Amino acid sequence: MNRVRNRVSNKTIILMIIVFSVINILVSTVAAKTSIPYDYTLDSANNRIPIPKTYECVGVISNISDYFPDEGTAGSLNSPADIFIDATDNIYIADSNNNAVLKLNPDGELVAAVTAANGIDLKYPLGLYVDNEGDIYVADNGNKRILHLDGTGDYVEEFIEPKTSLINQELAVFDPTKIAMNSTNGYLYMILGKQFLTIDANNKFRGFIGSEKVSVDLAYLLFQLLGSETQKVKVGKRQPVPYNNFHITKDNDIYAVSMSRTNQIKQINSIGNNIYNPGFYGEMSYEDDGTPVYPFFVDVAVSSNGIITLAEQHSNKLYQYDNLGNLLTVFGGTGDNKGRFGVISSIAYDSKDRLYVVDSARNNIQIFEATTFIKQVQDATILYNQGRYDESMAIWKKVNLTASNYPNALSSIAKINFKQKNYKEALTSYFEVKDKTGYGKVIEKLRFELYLNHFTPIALLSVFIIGLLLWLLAFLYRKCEKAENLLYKNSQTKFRAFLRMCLLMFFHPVRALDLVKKHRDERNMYPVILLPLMVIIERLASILFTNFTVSSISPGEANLMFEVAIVIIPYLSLAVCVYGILSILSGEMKFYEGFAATAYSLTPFVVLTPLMILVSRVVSNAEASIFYSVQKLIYLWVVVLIVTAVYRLNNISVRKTALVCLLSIAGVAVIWVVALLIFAFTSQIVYFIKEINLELIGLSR
Amino acid sequence: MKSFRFKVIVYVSVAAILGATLCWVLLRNPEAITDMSKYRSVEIGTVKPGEAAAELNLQYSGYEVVAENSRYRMELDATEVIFRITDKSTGKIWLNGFPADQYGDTVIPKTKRQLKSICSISYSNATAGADGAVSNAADDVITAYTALEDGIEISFTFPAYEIKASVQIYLDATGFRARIPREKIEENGEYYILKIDLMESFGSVIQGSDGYILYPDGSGTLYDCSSSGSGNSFTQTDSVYCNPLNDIDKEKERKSSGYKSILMPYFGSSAGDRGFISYIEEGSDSANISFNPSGAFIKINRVYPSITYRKIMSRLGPDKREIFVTEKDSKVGDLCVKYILLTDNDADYSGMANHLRDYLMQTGRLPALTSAKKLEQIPLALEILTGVQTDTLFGKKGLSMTTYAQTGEILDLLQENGVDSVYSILLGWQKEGYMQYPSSSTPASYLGSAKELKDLLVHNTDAANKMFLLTNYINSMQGSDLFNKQDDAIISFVKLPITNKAENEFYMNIDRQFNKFSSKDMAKYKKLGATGLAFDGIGEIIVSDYTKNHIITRKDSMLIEASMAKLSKESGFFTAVQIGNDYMLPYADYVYNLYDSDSNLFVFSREIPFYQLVVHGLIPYSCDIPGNMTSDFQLQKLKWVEYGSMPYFLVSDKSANDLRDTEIEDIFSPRFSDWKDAIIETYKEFNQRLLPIFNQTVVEHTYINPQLVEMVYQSGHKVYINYSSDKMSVGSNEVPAMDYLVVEP
Repeated sequence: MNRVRNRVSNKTIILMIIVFSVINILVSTVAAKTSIPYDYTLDSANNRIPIPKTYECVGVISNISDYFPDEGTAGSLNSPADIFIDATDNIYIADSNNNAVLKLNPDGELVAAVTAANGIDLKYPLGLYVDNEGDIYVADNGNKRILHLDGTGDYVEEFIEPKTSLINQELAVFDPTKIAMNSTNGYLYMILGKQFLTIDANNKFRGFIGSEKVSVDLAYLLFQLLGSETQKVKVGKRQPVPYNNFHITKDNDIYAVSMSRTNQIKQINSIGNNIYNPGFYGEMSYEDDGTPVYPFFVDVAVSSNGIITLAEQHSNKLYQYDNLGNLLTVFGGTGDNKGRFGVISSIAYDSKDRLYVVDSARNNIQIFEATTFIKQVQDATILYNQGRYDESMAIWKKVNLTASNYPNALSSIAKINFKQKNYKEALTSYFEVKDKTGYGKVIEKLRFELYLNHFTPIALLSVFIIGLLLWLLAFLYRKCEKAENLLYKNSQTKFRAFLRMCLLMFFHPVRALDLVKKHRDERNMYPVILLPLMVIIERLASILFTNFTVSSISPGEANLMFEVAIVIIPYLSLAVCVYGILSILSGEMKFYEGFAATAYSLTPFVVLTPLMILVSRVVSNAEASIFYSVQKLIYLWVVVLIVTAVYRLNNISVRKTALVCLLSIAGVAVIWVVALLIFAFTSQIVYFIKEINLELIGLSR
Repeated sequence: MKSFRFKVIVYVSVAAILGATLCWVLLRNPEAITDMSKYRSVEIGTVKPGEAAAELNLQYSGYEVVAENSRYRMELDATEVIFRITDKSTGKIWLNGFPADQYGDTVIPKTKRQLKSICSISYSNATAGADGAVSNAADDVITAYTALEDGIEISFTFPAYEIKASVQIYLDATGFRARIPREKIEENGEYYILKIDLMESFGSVIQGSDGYILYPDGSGTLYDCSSSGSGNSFTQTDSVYCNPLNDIDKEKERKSSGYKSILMPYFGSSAGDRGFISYIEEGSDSANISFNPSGAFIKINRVYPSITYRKIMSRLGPDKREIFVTEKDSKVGDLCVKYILLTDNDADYSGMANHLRDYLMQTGRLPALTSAKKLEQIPLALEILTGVQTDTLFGKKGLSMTTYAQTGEILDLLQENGVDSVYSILLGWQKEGYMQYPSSSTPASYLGSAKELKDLLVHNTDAANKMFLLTNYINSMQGSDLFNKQDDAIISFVKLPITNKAENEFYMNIDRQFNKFSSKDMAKYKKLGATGLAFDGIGEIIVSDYTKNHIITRKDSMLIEASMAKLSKESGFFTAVQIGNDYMLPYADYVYNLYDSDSNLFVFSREIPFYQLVVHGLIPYSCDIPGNMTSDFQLQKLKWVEYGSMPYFLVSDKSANDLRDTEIEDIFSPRFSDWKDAIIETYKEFNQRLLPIFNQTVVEHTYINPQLVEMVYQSGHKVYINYSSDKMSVGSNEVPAMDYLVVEP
């Protein structure tokens, strides 16, 4: 017996190897590229959309003449941590590992260097700010102070930890990293973990601002209520996520980036509330082993026209958003040439909206200028957000010419057309940008217009169709009533019997199942084969023809093998599990019956899916939820029929039926887990065989 | 008993199958040894080596004349082992290094000596686990001299490493040549040579002086030596033509990061009234060019060639760690570098381009001015995206972006609107679609019938209009019935196919592809009605294959690629090559996708159109960024003017949104209807304003200021290109903002 089992398992493994090898070959894809340089943006599904270059590196500050921070590193920055550009475009750099602060003129030439040689003993400066008078404030991190210098770099005063009981030493240490000043009240702001600490000109504590509310979920509450002390400690206290960096605009708005997993950008108003659109910013990435990596924004800069740029350190990319949180472009990346970075540490705009990006690994500062394309995008976005649609439309059209796939342009053009009642144009743009909501809204409007313009014929046609459907239902019901008596008579062919059984299953499932039971020795293979086949065909048809507004998957993303597998595998595994469990629990059902009953239970899906596809073509956004609910009801109907089949075919109690169903589900889960294990195992074998194959090619040559 | 017999049968059968497979694998000989003789008609870069005249016994301190011709005198200081060449007419001197006493105390003696190195050898000793470099100037070395006809051979023996190499230097009419003869290289111990640097400091420029280094990155780039800054620390080294291809993913990543390869193996420097331009005549397939910028201590900028004597490549070991493997037997030949010495007005990059062009024409590497084809109009370069593969529920399927009929309509419409000359390339015309490899010679039925394609090709070919079918004989992908991994995929010297991480992309053996092209495909292209072929990858990528008895070196690969273009041309096809590595130029009727920038490396100061300065007026070309794929069309147009490119667009009938489910990632605005007017307008503008200079060579290229360029053509025409948003004045002329001005002689 063992030998037989072994042989079977070996066969299975070989079969799996072949199957998975074939799948592997079928699903392997190859990325191809031309050599056109491009940046990208993201569509609503977070797919990267290539767009023309949005920023070009127009200059690099690296070797600074007359700067001698250390012997042997003349002219070189050493891990610069922060940059500030004043109103006249003088550039200030916190050169952290050289323990220096530099002031450069707009041409990048050294004006002043604050170093130990000049009598200012800085220790690891990480941030700086320059006020309107040109005085420099340095976050002298190593000395735990904020140093105030005049415009020539001479010492004025220092700010140390203000005396207040509100600074909890366990949670936050006075450790200045990033600083800025509110020009109205003259308070210095510095990041203190989860919030901003404010100090006045007399080094007095003026309060905290920007603390985020802590969300508490059910699991956390349960741990706090029921968990042991160890568990409570392990779960820890819920605290707001700390800020990484911030920027105060001329209007004293605070833009900050935090380490949270969503809502990473905050625009904090004068009373300390975040008024920026909540959402996820940046992109997720994944390690080779599948570990998710959340974006880590290290700095934020705001241009004169309110465009927000974030520096992300894992990917060394710059993400640019408008004031409503719409992504405009993503550029940069890790690399050795201009336009790419080693490690971004800080960013800032000058008065001409040129973006300065500090690279602490390459020890340089790259200067970026917006291309014509992104300038147009920014202008159009601002006008659109101000409600100046006509003006923005003209620019969006230019943007659309340069990049006909730019989602914001398509989306804005669609919205403006919609507002201007150009529904057909709006429909095209919404379709191109795959905006389900917008497309649905246009459908609704078009449908409404159609009703208004052709009310009488449409009303008559609707009445006729409803009448026809009712008549059809009544007709089928009558047929069904008769069918029950005619079924399995000698005169019936198996195919006609199958059709009538389907009908009966639709209207009188219990009677249908009783008939299956009654004629359990007369095997009819039509339901077993045809119904699952129909389910597969209709599933594929549904992917291909369901309107994209309510479709869950696009044809390009779907995989034929997978779609077939998700029908066949549950069908087979469920039928086998139900039969197996009932065999153990002394059920009456035969093997064939199990398959036939499961197949007949699919009837509602087979009958209703084509109707759902037709309905999807005219569903607007407002009815989408109804559509989804009906879809779920169909699935529920199928499940109820399967449970009923177990109950009726085995003459068992309701409780036992529930038990069988639960055990079957568990059985299916076990089968799938085993299949996954085999898959993992065979993947390794396939990998091994591929490696051997490569080696053999080499050996043979 | 029965089961025992069954077991025996099974085991014997399995053993027999495994044994047979192993024998087949180990003993089979896929094909006869590569017959390279058929490609020898396309010899690339061979110059007669210097012939030994007499042994020399030089022991003098100070310079001693070792060779002389009518223009130059070469002298050698045997103590310092420094040579200098003097232009007798002007008295100007070029040194191969600096005597040690020219440096301050901050420079360590070893570095001082390296700055006059003639021959520096990187070595590896696997037994001792030692890697390093020795230089004739810095280490214990036995130096011997042999007089040549017009020069000298200097032999260096490094006894500690049991390595020997020689350098021959001999004068000619325009400068001199330096050669490392392969036959004179000896390795007698456990030290293996990896790389040999040649004359690291020849023509070097002191930081802070008025001069620059010319480096062949992409279209060409300069390093400005005039600034007083310092702190550059990294040496930039690039393989000539393309880097050794070990990993397809890394190569793609490099390309998408904007890295450009070396298209022409030149380098040079300018220092005041002296300069030089060099060209690697022999061994360019294995050569590298290095730029060593001024650092914190050594204020000297150097540019020099080297030869990769042995390749090193990495592979993953059993523990998934990267291990480095060195090639066992070197496959390289001689390295021979021609140095053209320049003075006064010629000692700038325009002068370098002029002299290099003359030299390339004299040696047959470029068509002579008299034989260069003169075009009646400036053609419009048009790439038409026809078929691509798209993901569907039922797998990959051809998607028509432009049918053959629509292509005809596009070209007709252009012609009706006065666009009389179009060089059009059909992308994705094959059944596989664009960028699916290997590409067959079978047209895609979903684009139209073969007859429609034939009509299209015939209808759009005449003296002024050329239509090219895009072909690719380099790349391949797993799963194609045109590709057999066992025989077609090239393998590295570690006996593994060169592939990507997913192991589904490969490079193909170019010799087998040449045979396929010559014996089958050419006839098929003829049958289709093709009159022009565009070779993707050929002229861009050179690959070596280490198949046993079938080895193809990078040099062989160059020969085969050039032979393919030559055969195409001789068979009556108008031949277009991509990117334009210079060994393809004698056989190219048209170069497309030519770089119009450098790699944007931090170390360099300014990109220049050096390659274009050399070839303009001799071969028509278009650059690599289509006008409709840029963020600023006007800016791109100015670049075409400066770089001498035809106006270039990539179009299709459908829009970029249709490419969403395809692997084409970077085409964002191809719809012809959107760009029709701009294309027609640009064509007319170029022909109205630039036609008189299109067939002319460039004499001078100057940056009047960072945003204003002046170009002087052979005919005396001047073109001013203003990249700024303000108008600029040059003499009595005014150049409008973001525009150009052509001034007649």
